[in-house]
Amino acid sequence: MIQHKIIFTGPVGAGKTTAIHSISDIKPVKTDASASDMTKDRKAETTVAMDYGVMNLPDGDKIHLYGTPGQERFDFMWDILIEGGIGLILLLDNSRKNPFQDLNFFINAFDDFIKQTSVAIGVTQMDLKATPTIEHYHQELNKLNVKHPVFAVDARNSRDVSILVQSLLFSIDPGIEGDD
Amino acid sequence: MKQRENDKDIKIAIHGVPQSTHKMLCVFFKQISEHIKIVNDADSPDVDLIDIDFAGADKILAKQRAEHPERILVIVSLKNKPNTIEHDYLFLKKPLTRDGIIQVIMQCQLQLKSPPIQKEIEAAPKSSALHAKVSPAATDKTPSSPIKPLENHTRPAEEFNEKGFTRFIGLMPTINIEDPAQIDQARFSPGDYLLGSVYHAITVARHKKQALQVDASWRPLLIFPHSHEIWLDASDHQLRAFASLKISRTSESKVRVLPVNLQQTKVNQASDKFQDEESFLWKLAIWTSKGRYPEQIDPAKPVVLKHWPNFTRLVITPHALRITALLMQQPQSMLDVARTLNIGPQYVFVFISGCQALNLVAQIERKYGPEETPKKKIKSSGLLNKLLNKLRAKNHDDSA
Ligand SMILES: Nc1nc2c(ncn2[C@@H]2O[C@H](COP(=O)(O)OP(=O)(O)O)[C@@H](O)[C@H]2O)c(=O)[nH]1
Ligand SMILES: [Mg+2]
Repeated sequence: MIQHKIIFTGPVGAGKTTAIHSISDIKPVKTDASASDMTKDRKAETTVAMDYGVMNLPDGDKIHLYGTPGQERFDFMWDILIEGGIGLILLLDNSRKNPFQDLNFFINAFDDFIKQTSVAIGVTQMDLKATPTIEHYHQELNKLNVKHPVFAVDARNSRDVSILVQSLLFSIDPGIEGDD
Repeated sequence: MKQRENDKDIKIAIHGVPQSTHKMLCVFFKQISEHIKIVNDADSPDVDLIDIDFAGADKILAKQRAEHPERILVIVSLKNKPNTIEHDYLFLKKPLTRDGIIQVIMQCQLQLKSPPIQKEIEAAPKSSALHAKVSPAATDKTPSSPIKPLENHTRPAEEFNEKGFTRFIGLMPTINIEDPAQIDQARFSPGDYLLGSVYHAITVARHKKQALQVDASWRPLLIFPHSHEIWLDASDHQLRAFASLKISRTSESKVRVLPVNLQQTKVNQASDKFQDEESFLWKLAIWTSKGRYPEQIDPAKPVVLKHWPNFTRLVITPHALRITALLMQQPQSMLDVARTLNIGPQYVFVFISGCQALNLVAQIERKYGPEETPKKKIKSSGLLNKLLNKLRAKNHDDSA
């Protein structure tokens, strides 16, 4: 059975964990090893959480939401993870030193996947730092000759995250309608 | 994926399974990735994978833990996760699936590469979420005026379906796309309304870098170009009513645009009347349009959208996301959009009116050369539909 999944990526602190949490039907899962039912001998804190969430759909379908770890840690497993993925959500932290560098890094890193599917970009922390503006991001994307959705997103706000993911779906297929 | 680092193999020793199962697992893992190497216990594996359903597994487990506590332990079983094991371990439930294995391997890799969570916190003072939150950013923005979304004003990013939208916009005509007369009648001239005056004044204020006041024999409306804010002492309800009134262009009641005299305004007493300029202009355009299109735009000629509107901060008119996605794929006329999506043209018109107010629209004479091949549609559109419904529900969930 194929697994339907959406991949969330972006630099550390951009809001991946929070965003997945805000639309997931389950609490984000940390690695099994840190499960609370374990007793002694726990160096459990050493395990790294992998962001994971699920959206349960009618008829038993599920959408799995995966967050990638920081950009330092790309490796072959991510190639495998994104295989068959529906699309990519890229979150960028506007308060970081050089968010355009992040933008370019991730767009490039996921180049093939984006070409096969689509990407929607959420710029977080704009309440803390207003520039660059969304318009600036579009200009930056223009240099790459692409026109992806870019929204101001607060990852803590499920409505923002919902709209971001919706834009991804419509980018993939403008024909989908939903029920209303 | 490009630019990856640490592209390295992961070595796994499998314990407690018969030879035949072992062989099968080797093949299975190899299919997932060549980088997963099944090795012998002597080849210093990174991971011990132990099937505890086989007889004698508990002994193997105890031995491996005692001799190689540094390795990552993965327990495999048909039963649910056992809570009798006093070690730190990852769990894989049988039957093994590709995705289950991938998840576990990924977690193994993360552990191998970055044991300490602490490291992440210590080592990243500049990029860490904790720090980003407070220091540089907080000092960076000195808001020149306080904008806070407030009850009085439309919640940004409200997403409407057709029914809810009628409540928001008031009555909207249904337009028959096959009737040229109706299409023709559905145009409006923004200059006849408050919208035109505000749009014009914003352009001037930006150009002069000066705060301006629009006086349209209504309530004063102030424009602050530096902070991209509007100040207006009126409720959305009042604004909606005034937006649809034609402002006479005769000289005696002409709209005036003046520099702001901060002493004379009540701005300082009413800081809660500020609104984001883009959201305001968009909203005003929608209430002015009411399903009509601005006369500058020919409904039969292709429309180019400069880029996606910032939908999380705008009122989302019915079908707005679909219309945008379609236009981003390929410029086409407003009428063609309505036909392609099989929706009332009034929804395309009202959306384009908003885009026009934000300078997001251009028109071209004819379609670009050969038809661009639309992105490959994925087969599971039914799935996307379901997901969309679910997301919309989330969207309305926490409207509190
Ligand atoms: N102020 C502010 N905080 C945000 C925003 N989005 C996310 N956060 C916070 O940023 C922090 C880092 O988010 P997290 O999900 O851990 O980022 P991750 O490293 O990408 O998983 C969390 O405390 C979030 O609550 C935003 O738009 N504004
Ligand atoms: Mg995280």
